[in-house]
Amino acid sequence: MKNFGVMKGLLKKGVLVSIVSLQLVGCQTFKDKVVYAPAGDVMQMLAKEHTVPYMLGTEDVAVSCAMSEALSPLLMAFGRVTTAPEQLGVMLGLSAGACEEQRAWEHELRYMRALREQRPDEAEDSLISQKRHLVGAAKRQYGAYQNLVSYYGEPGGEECPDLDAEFDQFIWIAGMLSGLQALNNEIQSTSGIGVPKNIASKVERGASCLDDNQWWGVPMAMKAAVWSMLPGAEPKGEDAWQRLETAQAKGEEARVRLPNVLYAMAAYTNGKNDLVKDIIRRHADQVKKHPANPEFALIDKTATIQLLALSDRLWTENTGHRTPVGGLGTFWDDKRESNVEVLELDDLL
Amino acid sequence: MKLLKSKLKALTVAAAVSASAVSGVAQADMMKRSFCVWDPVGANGPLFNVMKSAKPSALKWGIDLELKAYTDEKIAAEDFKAGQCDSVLLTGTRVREFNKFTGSLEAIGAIPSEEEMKMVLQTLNQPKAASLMKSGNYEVAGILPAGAIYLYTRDRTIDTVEKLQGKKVATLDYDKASMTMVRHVGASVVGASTANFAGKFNNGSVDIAYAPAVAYTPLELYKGLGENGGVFDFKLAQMNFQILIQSDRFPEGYGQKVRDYTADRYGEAYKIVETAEAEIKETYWVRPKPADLEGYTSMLREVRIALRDEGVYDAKALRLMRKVRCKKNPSNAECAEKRE
Repeated sequence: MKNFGVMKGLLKKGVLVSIVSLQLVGCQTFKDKVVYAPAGDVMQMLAKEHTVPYMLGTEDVAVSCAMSEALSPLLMAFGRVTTAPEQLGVMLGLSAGACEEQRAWEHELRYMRALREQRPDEAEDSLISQKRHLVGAAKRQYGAYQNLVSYYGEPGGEECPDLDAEFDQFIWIAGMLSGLQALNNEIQSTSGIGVPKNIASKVERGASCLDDNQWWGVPMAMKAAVWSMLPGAEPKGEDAWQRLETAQAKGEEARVRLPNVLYAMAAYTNGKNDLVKDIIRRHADQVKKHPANPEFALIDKTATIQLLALSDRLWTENTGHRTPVGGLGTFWDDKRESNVEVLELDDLL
Repeated sequence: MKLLKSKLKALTVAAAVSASAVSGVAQADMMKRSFCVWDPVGANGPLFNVMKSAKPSALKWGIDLELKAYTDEKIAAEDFKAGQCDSVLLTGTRVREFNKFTGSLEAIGAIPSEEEMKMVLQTLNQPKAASLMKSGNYEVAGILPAGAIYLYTRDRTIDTVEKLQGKKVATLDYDKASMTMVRHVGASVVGASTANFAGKFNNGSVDIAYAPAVAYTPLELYKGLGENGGVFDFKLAQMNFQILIQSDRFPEGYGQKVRDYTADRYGEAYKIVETAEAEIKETYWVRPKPADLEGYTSMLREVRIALRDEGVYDAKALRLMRKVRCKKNPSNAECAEKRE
């Protein structure tokens, strides 16, 4: 009973303080500081500690993409009342950018089919639609990169940021991949939306801040991909293709086969289509034989989807349709091999 | 009813036959032609992607363009020469061996600003100019502006031509005009290519490099400029990309259609150039002294005339560019002298 009295007193004081605060700072500020800000902090913590790891363990890239598109405004709005959720912004931008990329791919395939069927109007229209989505993707991915810069500083500077925690390292990789993709998509869209053209060089240096073995060979794959694409970027004594091959093996070993995407992109850009096919074949084979690392299943699946997109592009160019169902790793011109004996039909005909 | 049914059947068959015949004609009429595009970045690069966008238009003109990316400009030019490419995209300087007239549009100091460059491009886009675009079996089917070429120096105190003496300049060694120019000012030539000039400038193995503004950010030329460097605000030449075709591989009138298509893209090209120039930090610009400008202009003119006499530059192209300069500034001394 005595305690009850104390509590009553405290409550009374609390209400009084609240009323005073309300009068002092105004209703909106009170709500922002007392209601929304803690909620925002909780949301950020929840996302960091549970949502991101949970999503990374799932395989449904479409759900992750839809979630990022839908929740971006909600989560990012907390930046108005509490610390801006920049790390989450990196993940959301990268993932929401992927949604737009996938839409762009659909239009690209439509463009290719129209060209094959010699329907120029349809081809032109598809190309315009593709470019619109590429612009959308580039904007989101560049937004992700800007969040990275805002939180950690620009990659490729004199020193590396404080990346002691694994989560920080993961965001660092995601942000730099976003930057590379933003640049690539802006170029593909042939529109100038303001993605700085030196992102590739900065990422090349920023990748050195990470332990290549811990991150499945991705840091070196990023560096080597830039060397293979940017004129004069390859340091003396280095061999981008050898490095990419090593990165491929590291990704396979870790069962997070993201280096394959960078390897395939570098090969495609350099017109090495046979190598692209080999990378896709090997990836498909590895995925069948060795399931993804459960902690990063989403990343492994994303790599598969990116390679499927590349495979679809090659299939459509050559056959008019995308990769057949279950056909990732096969190509239209593969030799059909069979060990089954064939009987002579002559006496039946 | 039976009659109607059989008539309908006949109609359907006729429609199917004529549809397939029409599509058969379309297939047969369509010419598959290769287009070799030089892009330092390759198939994911900006030039390649801009050129890829022309495919639907080419289809309307009866051409099924097959694009191939080349990261080495020299090989692209050689493949075109060997007939392995029906058309090609190269820089103006590389085009000189195929069409001396359009290949001289990058002549040193010949086009002092964007305004004059636009005038040159519009003039050459007229159907009347078609004969200038042709040289034997080669035809220039479009010119795209890439912006002015500037001088980048690691030491901003080099602000006059005299101070260039003895300095090492990364020079495109396949371009006789550049070699002549560098030697003319007493600087020393350090052979370079589009792939390695930036590295040489950034690591200090040369003192000076020249490049269009579009190279500044992607190749991080600001690293070579550092604290003490500068970009000399004088337009040395107007860089451009040109599309060349083997005339006998394309239908009559294709060249003009592509030239019109290219002309519609000048705005986009200039926007890219403008953005790139704005990225150069304001403090890097070294403005030449107004008193020196006239001297530079006349020095470059002398070099141009010498190169014309040596057979490097085309006389007609130099005359056209002189006329354009005089249209803008009729009181220039050269307008009365008419030496070009």
